[in-house]
Amino acid sequence: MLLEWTVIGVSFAYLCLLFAIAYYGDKRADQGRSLINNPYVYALSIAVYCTSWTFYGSVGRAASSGIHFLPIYLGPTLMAVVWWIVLRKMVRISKANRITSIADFISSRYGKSQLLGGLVTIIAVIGIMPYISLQLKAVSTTFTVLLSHPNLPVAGQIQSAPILTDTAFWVAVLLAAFSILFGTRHIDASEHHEGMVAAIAFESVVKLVAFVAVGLLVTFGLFGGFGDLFSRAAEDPRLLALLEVGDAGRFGDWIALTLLSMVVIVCLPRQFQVAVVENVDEAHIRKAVWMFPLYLLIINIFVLPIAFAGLIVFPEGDINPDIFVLALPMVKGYEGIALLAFIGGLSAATGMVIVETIALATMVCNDLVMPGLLRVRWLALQSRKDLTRLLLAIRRWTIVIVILLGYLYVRLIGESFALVSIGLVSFCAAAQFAPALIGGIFWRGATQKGAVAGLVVGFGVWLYTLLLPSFARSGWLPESFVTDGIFGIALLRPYELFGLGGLEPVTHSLIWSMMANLGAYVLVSLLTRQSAMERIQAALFVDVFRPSGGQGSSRFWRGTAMLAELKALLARFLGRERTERAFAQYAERRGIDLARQREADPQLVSFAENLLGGTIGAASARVMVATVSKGETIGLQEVMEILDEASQVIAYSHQLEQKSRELEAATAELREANERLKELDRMKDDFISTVTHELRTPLTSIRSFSEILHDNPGLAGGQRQEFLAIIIRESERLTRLINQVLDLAKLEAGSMSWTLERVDPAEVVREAVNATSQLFRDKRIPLEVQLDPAAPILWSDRDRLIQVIINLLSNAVKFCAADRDRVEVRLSRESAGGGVVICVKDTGPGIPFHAQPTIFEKFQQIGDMLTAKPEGTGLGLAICRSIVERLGGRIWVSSRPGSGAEFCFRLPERAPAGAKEGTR
Amino acid sequence: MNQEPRPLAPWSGRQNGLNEKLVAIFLLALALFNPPLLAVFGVPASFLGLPILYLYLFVAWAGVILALALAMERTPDETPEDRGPGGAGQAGG
Repeated sequence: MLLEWTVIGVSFAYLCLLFAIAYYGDKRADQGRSLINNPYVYALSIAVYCTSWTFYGSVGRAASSGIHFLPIYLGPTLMAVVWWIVLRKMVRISKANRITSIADFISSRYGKSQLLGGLVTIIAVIGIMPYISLQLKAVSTTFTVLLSHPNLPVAGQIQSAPILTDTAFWVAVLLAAFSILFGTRHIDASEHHEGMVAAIAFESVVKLVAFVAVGLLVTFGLFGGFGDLFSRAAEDPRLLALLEVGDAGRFGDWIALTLLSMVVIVCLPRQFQVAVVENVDEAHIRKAVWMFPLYLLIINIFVLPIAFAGLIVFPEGDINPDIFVLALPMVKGYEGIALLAFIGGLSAATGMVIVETIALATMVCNDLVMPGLLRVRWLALQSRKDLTRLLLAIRRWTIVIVILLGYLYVRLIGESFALVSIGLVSFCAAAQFAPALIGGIFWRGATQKGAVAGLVVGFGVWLYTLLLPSFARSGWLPESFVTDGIFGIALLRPYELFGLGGLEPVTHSLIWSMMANLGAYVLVSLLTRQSAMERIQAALFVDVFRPSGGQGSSRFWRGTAMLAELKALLARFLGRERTERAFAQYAERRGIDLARQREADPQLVSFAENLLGGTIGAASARVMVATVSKGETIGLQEVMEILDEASQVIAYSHQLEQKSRELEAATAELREANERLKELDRMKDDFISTVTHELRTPLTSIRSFSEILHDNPGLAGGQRQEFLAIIIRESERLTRLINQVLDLAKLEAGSMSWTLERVDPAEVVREAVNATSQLFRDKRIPLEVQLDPAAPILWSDRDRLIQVIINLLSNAVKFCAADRDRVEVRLSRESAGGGVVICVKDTGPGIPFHAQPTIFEKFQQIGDMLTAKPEGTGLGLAICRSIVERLGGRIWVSSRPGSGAEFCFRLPERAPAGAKEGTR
Repeated sequence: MNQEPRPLAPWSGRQNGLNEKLVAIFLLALALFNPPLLAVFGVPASFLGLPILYLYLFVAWAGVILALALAMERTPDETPEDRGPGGAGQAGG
């Protein structure tokens, strides 16, 4: 016989035991002998995943959908397989950055964004609300069931009572009080709620033992084991159908639920809390990876047998399958087991509510309320002495409000949904965190705007396709919203969005919300840029396993703060004693004496921010520390400026180098030009002195002979004639010299007039040969002429060409010995360039090697010193070179002393048109 | 703490090959827990008096957990540097 007070008494006793465990756990933690520092406790605490949903709802689901209760547990198993890769990374990141919640984690990852933290918090609170209501509903229903013993309430018989007599309300109040006692007894700078974790692990044991006890009783007490139970079930075609997966659409649901539960095992705020925030040692993950799935396996073995047994024992279908776990022992008179089952269900519910509300309270306080309050100036929070009380008050009120919201949902939705359906709504909301959370630790390029866009869009779709319809189904919104779509637009029906029908509401919502969420997250991330802060945080998160990773954002603080101010700030949030202890530990670890320092260096500022972040969240901590830190954080602008400065310096030094190279080049040019000028100057002097010398020689000669003739009128006729001839010859020579000097001057000044016309080179050569034939005859030197008939007609200056050839021929004659040497003139077509080459070759004495390079300079006469009297003016070859170069050609000499010389010049087919002097 | 340089992708080239094993088990579980393998056993038959789908899923599940346990427990520990910081309180490196 179960009396009301027995049930209440046992429940209270159980809750007190839980509290004692938590108290003991905290005490041990304070002593430094942690109770939870072992992998088994860690694995069991993760089993907070199994709530009333698992305890009661799975059986209810199995009774209606058969094996389809299972994906909810297969998904987490899949994720557990890769926990060593994913969860370990999150734990490492969280430890390095003192992450306090999933909102804190996401906000930190994307540049400590307050917006994102707030957004995640709001989504979590609204999304988790149905989940909490599920627990309240389960506890209140089972309590009512237990009290109605030995009768069983028929489904739909439990009516919602006025609030003050409503069990669910009192359950809510009780759970709120309990959560407050557990989670917010004090503000803990170490971020760990060790006592809570210990209690949660204990609860996991209790619910497992209770469920397995019921399962064993049903399978082996009420039936003759698995074989008997299933063979009895096989007689019922209704039950037989539950053993199939179903058609393709059911496969879709199966896969969707698997994926959904796979991501929520890290995305649910309470799972993040126990698996990441409360983790004390990364190595614990090693065991949890396989122990947690094992726990799920064991607790699920008896789900199907209990469901079948329930369906067999209550064939009328008037008992809600969600309470089979309790109803079966009750009707068979196993009151002890029934009470144990109730306690198990209670532990499943309380475990979930405690952890969930504490996680939510931390989030609401750190990422929603504190940032808001800090902005309100007239509150002047920065200057308050002690803020720990305020923080605690915020968290306590958050717990009360969150649980009351859950209660409100239970009142609104009431009996319309089965437990699992309510839970799945929350699952789908929590899954919205997955892209930003998991993407954030592997994809460095994900931006804050991308994360915000994904969350907003995904949450919006969830709201429209799951939460609002659940209100409509319960009559709080017009029913037509579900049946006809909003504004009667059929395409927008929330359960068949854009005509996608034939799916369970959760599968449907998951598909659309995930597509929108992921799509927006990726697309916006690709299209937007990260701020400097985001970039630094992204690197810290993604590269946490790198040697440089996981060192906090110390490089982000440039400035320093007064040590006393920093301490005062921390003391306001953490309390004086704890602050002093943390600073002392810091000083000890780094080997510095803080007492002698007035200013805190950037590392210490960063340490303080990190410490504060553990209490009020990263985003708020940054704002708070900024109030006492003198240096600003580095903004994107400044980072860019620093980069700019650096690149400017580099560019500047590049320019300098280039300038100096140019300068060197210019100097070299100048030096060269100077050399040339000097050379030219010297040549001009030489030229003038040579010209005057050359002019004076014939002049002297003319003058002397004229004087002789003048002074000796009676000179013999023959002699007189001879002297006059000399005078004439010298005068001619003088004229020729002057003519040539004038020619050269004209050539060099570019003022010579040129007449370009069609010129037959062969004819030119012949003419020149004719003009000089007398010279050859005089010295009896044979002249051989070779003319290539293929030589092309040139476009050149005829007279100048003749002048060049005459100069070369007369030059050759000049150096040839009479009767002995011979001269050869040759015209050939140039195969390469299409012009002609004309060569004049003699067998004279040749030109010494040292004289060859300068042979075309003015007044360079070989044998100047040796033969007393030069035959020419010394200007002929210089004139030749000027003319040839002007006509676009080139002149050269090849000679071996003693075996003659060969002067050649090459002319192009077309002389350049300009009157400019050719290249020199 | 972790002085050893690590590859960018946490599942790439590790000495003990644990991550590779885990990915393999993950793919195995993915195949076992989902259609089409699921459809193969989704027939109204029984084995040893137990429905075959129920039996299959729990045996496959237990197999995955066993493989996982073996992989985690049998794979030797990584180098000490690989170990994360035990407990809280390591800020500013």
